Amino acid sequence: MELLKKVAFLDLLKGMKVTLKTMLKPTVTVHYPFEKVEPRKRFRGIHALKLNPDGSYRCEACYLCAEMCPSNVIDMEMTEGKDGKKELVDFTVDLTRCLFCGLCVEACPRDAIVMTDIYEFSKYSPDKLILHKEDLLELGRYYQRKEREK
Amino acid sequence: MESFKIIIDGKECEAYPGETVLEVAERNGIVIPVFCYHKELRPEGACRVCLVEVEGAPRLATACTLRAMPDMVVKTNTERVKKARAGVIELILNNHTLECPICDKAGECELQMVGFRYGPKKSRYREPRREKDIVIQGPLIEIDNDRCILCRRCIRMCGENMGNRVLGIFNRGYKAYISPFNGDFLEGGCEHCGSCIDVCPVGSLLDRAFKYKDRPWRMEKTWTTCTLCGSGCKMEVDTYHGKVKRVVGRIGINNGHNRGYLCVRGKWGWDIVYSDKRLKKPLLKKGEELKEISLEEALRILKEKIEGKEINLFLESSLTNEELSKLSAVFGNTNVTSDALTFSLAVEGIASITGERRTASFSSTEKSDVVFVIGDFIEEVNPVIATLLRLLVIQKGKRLIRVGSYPSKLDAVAFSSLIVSPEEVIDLLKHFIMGTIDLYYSSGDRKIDSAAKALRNKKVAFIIGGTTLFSPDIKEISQTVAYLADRMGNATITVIPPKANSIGVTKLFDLKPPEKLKGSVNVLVNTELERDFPGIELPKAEFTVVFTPFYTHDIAKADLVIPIETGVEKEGKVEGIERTLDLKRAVVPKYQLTEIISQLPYREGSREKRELKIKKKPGESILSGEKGEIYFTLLVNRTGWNSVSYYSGNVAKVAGRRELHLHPEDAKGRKIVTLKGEHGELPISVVENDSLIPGTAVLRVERVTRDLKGLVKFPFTSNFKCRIAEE
Ligand code: SF4
Ligand code: SF4
Ligand code: SF4
Ligand code: SF4
Ligand code: SF4
Ligand code: FES
Repeated sequence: MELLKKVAFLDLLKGMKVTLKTMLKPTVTVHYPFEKVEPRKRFRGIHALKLNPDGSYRCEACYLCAEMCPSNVIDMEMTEGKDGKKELVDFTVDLTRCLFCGLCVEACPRDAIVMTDIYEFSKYSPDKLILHKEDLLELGRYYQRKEREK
Repeated sequence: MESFKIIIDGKECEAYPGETVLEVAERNGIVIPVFCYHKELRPEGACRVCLVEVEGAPRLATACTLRAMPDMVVKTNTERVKKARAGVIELILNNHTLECPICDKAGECELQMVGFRYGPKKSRYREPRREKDIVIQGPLIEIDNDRCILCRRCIRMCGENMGNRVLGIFNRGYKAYISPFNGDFLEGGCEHCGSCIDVCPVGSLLDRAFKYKDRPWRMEKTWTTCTLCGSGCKMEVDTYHGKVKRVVGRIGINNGHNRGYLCVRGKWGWDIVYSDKRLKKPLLKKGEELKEISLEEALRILKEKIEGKEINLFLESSLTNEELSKLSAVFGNTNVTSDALTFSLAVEGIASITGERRTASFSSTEKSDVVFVIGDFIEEVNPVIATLLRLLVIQKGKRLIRVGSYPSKLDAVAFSSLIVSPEEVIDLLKHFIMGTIDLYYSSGDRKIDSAAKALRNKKVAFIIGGTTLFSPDIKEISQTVAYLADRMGNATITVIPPKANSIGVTKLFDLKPPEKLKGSVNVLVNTELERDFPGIELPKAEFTVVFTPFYTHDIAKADLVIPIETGVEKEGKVEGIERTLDLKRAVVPKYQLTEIISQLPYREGSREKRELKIKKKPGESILSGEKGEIYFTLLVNRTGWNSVSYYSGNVAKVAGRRELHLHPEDAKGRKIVTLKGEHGELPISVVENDSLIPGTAVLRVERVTRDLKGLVKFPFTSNFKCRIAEE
C-alpha cells in the first residue's frame, strides 16, 4: 500500500485534484490589460457632457450638479454668449476627488451630465485628471455614439 | 403712542396705531408670505398672497394693507388661508416660465421660496403658458417680462422712493408688461440706481452686467463700504474665486445708514478693479520714457529721494484712515493739500461758532422735525444722501426746506425751496436768523416768511452739501448756518462729505491751498490733478512721485509711479457721514498702499494745535457780480464723479454729456457759446433750461479735462464767474 502510494503519486494527484478538475473548464480570469471586461450597463465611469443633435451642448451652467456633489468635484464659469444665451466658459471635473457616486447626474435638470463607461483614466500628473469643457464634450460624443450602437 | 393687543395665531402681540397686521406679525416672528409688500415701499395689496383670516370678517383680507385694530383675532394658518394662498400661487405660476436653471435670481428668488413653501404641489392648468417674451434691454438693466409677476414693486420704488418714474405697466390684463416709458431707460430718465433690480422679487429685472455670470448662492459675500463718494454706502460685493461678479445693496436687509440704496457708481462701478487702465507695475522715468521696475527698486529710490526733504503731499480724500495715518507719519501732515480743502473750510466756518471742529451725523435728521438743506446738486454728488433726504419726507413725513442757487431734484418733495442768486444765499439765511429772534419779523417775501415760520420751535437738522461746498462762499455760508443753528438752540448741522473720507483728511491734516506748498518733492496719492485740483500746476520740484491705481495724465509728469489698490480691495475704516465705516477686502490686490508706505522711514513730525477763533456772528458773502457776468457751477455728472465712468466699462455705458445749461434769457437762442474765464475760453453747446434763474449757469461735464483750466481754479469750482463771448 505504501509502495503503491509512492509509485502512483497518489498524494500528488490528490493535491492536484482541483487543478485537474477545473483544467478543462473555460477560464474566468481576465488578463487585464490585455483583455478587458465590458462594464455593466449602469456602470459609473468618468463624466461626459451630452450634446444636442445640432452639436450644441445641453448643459445650461445651472451649477446644480456642482451643488449636489459631496466632494466638490465640479466647478464652472459661465457668461452671456453673443446670441444672448447662457454659455459655459469652462466646466471642470476634478477626477482626483470624485467618488463616482453619481449624484451630479441625478441633479441635472437638463440630462446634460452623464457618466460614461470609461474607468481607465490614470495619468502621469494630477493636473491631467482635471477634465475641462472640451474634454467633457469629446467624452459626450463618445458616450452618445455608444448609446446609439446599443 | 398707546399700544394695544391683537391676537395672531393664538399669540398675543403688541401693536401700535397705524401698523398693519403684517408688520405686527413680522415683529413677532410670525411669517406671512408676501410678494408685493416690501419694507421700504408703500403697501399696495396687488398680489394677494398675504391673505389672512380675521375673526368676524366674511372674506379673507390682505395682511399687508390691513391695519391692526384693538382686539383683532387673526389666523394665518387655517385650511381656508392655505388653500387661498396656494390658489394665488398657482395662478402666478401658471404663467411663469420657471426657467430657474438659467434664471439669475434662482437661489434668492422670492417666488421660488414662497412657491416651495406655500404653493400647490401640482397645477391643475393644462392651458399653454402665455408667452410674453417682451424683453427690454437697457444699457445696464434688462427686463425679462415672462418672469414678471406684476407686483409693481419696481414701479413704486422708481416712482415714489427714487422719484424718477421711469417704469410703468403697459397694456392691461393678460398682456400687461413692465417697461420704461418709451421703452428706453436712458430716454426715460433712468438714473441707474439699481433699486428696481434690488426689490424685484423674481428674476424679471436684471443687472445686465451680471446676467448669466454666476449663481447667486455660490458667491462669497463681503459687506463693505463704497468709497466712490461721501455717502459711504454699505454694499455687498459678491465674488467667486476672488473675482468680483456684482455689487448688491439689498434694500430692506442692509443695516447700513443707506439701507441698501445705491447709486450707479456703487452698483456698477465695481469694474474699475478690472479697468484696462489699471497700472500693473511701478514705473520709473529714465530719460523721456517710463520703464517698469520692481517694487523693491521703486521703494529704494523713493527712500533715497525723500530723505530729509520737505514733501508736498497731494491727497485725494477717498483714502482710509489707516492709509492716511501712515501717510502723515511718513510724509508729514502740515505741508498738505487735498480736495477736502473746501470741506475743511465748511467745518472751520461751523467751528468758528460752535467752537469744535465736529459736525453731526446723518442720523440726526431722524430725530428732527424739519430738515433744512443748504446745497445744490446733492443728487449728483451724493446721490444716496439725496435719496435718503427724499425718503425722510415721503416715509417719515419730515418737512424739507432747501436753500440753493440751482434747481434740484429735492425740490419736488420740499415743503419750500428757496432758490436765489449765489450772492444772496447768505442774506437769505439772515432772514431766517431775524425770524428766530423776532417773531413779527417780515422779510418782505411770503415764501421766506412761511419757511421761517415752519422752523419755529421745531427741532431742525441743517444739511450742507452738494456743489455748494465748492462755492467761494462756503466758509461764510456754514458760519451763517452755524450761527442760525446756535440761535435756534435745538438744531444740528451735518456737512455732507463729497468724498469717502473728507472728514478723516480734515481731521488728520492741516490743509493748505496748493500755492502755499513749499516742499521740494511732490507726492501725489490716489489723485488726478485735473480732476481734484483743476487749474493748478504742479509745483516745481526735484522729484515727483505718483501713487495711483490707474494710468492718469499725471504719470507724464512723474519721475516715479507706484501702483496702489482701489476701494473694494481695501481693508480699513473711513470717517463717514454717519460714523466710522468699515471697509472689508473683497478682492486681494497686488499692491497695497499701507504695506508700501510702512516700508518707508517715519519722520518726526510736530503738528501745532490749530487754534480756533470764535466769532459768534454770521458770515458775509464775498461774491459780487458785475453786469454781464454769470455764475457758473462746474457739475461733474453723477456717473463721472471720481472718474468712475472713465475707468468703469459698465458706467461708461450710461455716462452723461458735457453741456452748458443756460437760462433762455442768457442763452438768447444760441446753440453754441464761448465761455470766457480769467485765463481761457471754452466753446460749448448750450441747453436752454428755464428752471435756472437768470444769471446762473451749470456747466455739466463727465470728466474735468485740461480745457477747463482757464475757467475754474481749485478749490472753488462752483459759483465762479465767467462771461459769455458776444458773437
Ligand atoms: S460622481 Fe459624485 S463625487 Fe463625482 S462629481 Fe458626481 S456627485 Fe460629485
Ligand atoms: S446640472 Fe446639468 S445643466 Fe446644470 S450645470 Fe450641471 S451639467 Fe449643466
Ligand atoms: S424668477 Fe424665480 S421662479 Fe422664476 S425662473 Fe427665476 S428663479 Fe425661477
Ligand atoms: S435704476 Fe433706478 S431710476 Fe432706473 S428704473 Fe430702476 S429705480 Fe428707476
Ligand atoms: S419687474 Fe419685478 S418688481 Fe417689477 S412688477 Fe415685475 S416682478 Fe414686480
Ligand atoms: S403682499 Fe399683501 S397683497 Fe401682496
